[in-house]
Amino acid sequence: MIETNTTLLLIEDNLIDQLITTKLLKKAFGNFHFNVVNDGKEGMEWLYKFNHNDNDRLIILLDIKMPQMDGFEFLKHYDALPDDLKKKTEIFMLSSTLDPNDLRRANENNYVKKLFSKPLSVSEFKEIINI
Amino acid sequence: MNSSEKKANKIKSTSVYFLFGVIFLSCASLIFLNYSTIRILSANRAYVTGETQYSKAQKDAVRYLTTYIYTQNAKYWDFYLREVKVIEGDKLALNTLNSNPDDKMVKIGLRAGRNKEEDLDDIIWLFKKFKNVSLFSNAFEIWSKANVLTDSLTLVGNEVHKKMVSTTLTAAEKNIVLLKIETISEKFTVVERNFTDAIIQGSWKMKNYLIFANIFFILIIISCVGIYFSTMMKKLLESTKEIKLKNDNLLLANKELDRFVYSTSHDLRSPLTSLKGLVQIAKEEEDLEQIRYYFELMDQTISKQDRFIIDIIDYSRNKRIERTLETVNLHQLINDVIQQYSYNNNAKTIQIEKNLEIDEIHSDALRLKIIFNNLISNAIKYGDPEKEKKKIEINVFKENDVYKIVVKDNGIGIEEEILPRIFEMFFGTNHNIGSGLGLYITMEAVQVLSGTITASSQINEGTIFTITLPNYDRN
Repeated sequence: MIETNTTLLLIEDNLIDQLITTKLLKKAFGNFHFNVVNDGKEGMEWLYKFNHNDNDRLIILLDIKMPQMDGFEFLKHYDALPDDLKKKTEIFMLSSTLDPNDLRRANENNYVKKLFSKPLSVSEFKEIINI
Repeated sequence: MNSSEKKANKIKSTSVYFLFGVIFLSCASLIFLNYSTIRILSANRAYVTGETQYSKAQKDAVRYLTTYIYTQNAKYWDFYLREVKVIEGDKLALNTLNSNPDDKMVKIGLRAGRNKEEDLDDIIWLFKKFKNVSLFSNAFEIWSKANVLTDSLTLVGNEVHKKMVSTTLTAAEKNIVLLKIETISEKFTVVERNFTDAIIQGSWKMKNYLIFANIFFILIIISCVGIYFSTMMKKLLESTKEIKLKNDNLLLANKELDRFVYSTSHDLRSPLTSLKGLVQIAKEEEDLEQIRYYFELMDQTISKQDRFIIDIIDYSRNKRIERTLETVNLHQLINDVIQQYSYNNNAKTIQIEKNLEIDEIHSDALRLKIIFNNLISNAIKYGDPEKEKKKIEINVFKENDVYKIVVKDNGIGIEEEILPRIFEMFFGTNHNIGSGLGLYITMEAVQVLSGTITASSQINEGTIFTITLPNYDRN
């Protein structure tokens, strides 16, 4: 079970993938603070409203290819957020990309802990976030 | 375009050959001219030298003849004869030159005229070449005048000698003869001076002509080389520029291809990963209703991938297949397109209105199909569910000899800031319902038909796509 003060944010534009990831995570972790937004822009808006003082931990699952603001643009905007929020946050990317350019960029980004391939392998994810 | 380029190349290469021809001819002329110059100047010097010998011999002959008349010493007669032979020799030479082309006889005369052996050929050459050229013909006329004087001198000499051998001359007779000789001698002096002047003047003029000709030909050569050099440099610069441009285009094309391949592979793969995910959650699901719902989602995913593959094929066909103009029945084409969407839930609630002023259009059926297909499908997909009456209006009419296609909907509209980007490849606002290829392919199809496409939109009001196509009927 995930601790109640851990929050999960899924940034994903594909509605079917949103459903799949939500189902997979709910099955593994049961009920927890779980939020879904449709693209990077909405993700940023969600983060601005997010009260990080009341939460211990924020885990973001970030898609790469999205309209309006894609995953990498989101990471650029994320960089400008306050440090105490970022300290509590872990970002994982979740994509079906095979573009070596995307893989390299995800790898080089300091905020991205790991790039997961779709569909999300829950057991691996569980191990890494250590719950 | 290709043939005109070839023609231009042909013209360029013929002009290059022409330049080389001019340079070659100029060089040949220069060599010939300079050879002639040297020869003429050398011959001139030979003539002047010969004249010096001639004058000296003539003066000596007159002096010895006079001395002979005074002293009656036969020794001076012999001396006189020796000197007269010199001017006689030159006379023989000129006479032979005028009448007889035999150089041997001429040379005998010239040798007698104490001309140097090495000069003989040049003297003969100049005479033969310039006999009738005003530059030197003057000198040759003077030479023949001198020969008349030679005849007079020998005549007087012989008469005196004859008389002096038989009798003694009276003082009065002597005076007459001496006066005759003096007159001849003075005439000789004038003629000799004129001859030298004529030769020298001829050579001055010649020198001026030759300097002018030299400058002229050298300028021609320099300008030809200059023109050749500059055209070559221009060509080189042009081809360097062309190569650079081609290279840049290739790099760009390569980059675009890379991007295309990765974008396409992503878009082809993501439905598969969705399917995999759906299968995974369906396996673990026990609720049959839920499982049915997952099947429905699988169906949607597969349709989406199918649509994407069709888009890719359209894109490729549009790129590869040449434009073919034929008579296309617009009613039928548009009805066929609408027919495809008759089972679509969204389409069922939309009223499609056709206003076709033209029944048939001379154009490319494949491209028209791509255009109508994408515009109508977009109007259906982005219809506004809030609106009571969803509408699509298709207008085709002729305006100022161009065809206009206007597709108007009252859908959700496009935001002003993204309106300029809608024709970009893989640009899309919602990847759940679009691949981002449709409008890009539409634009490419319009371009194949040498037409234009524009879009205007108002959020919540609707979108209007306007296409103009050239009238191909005339051609």
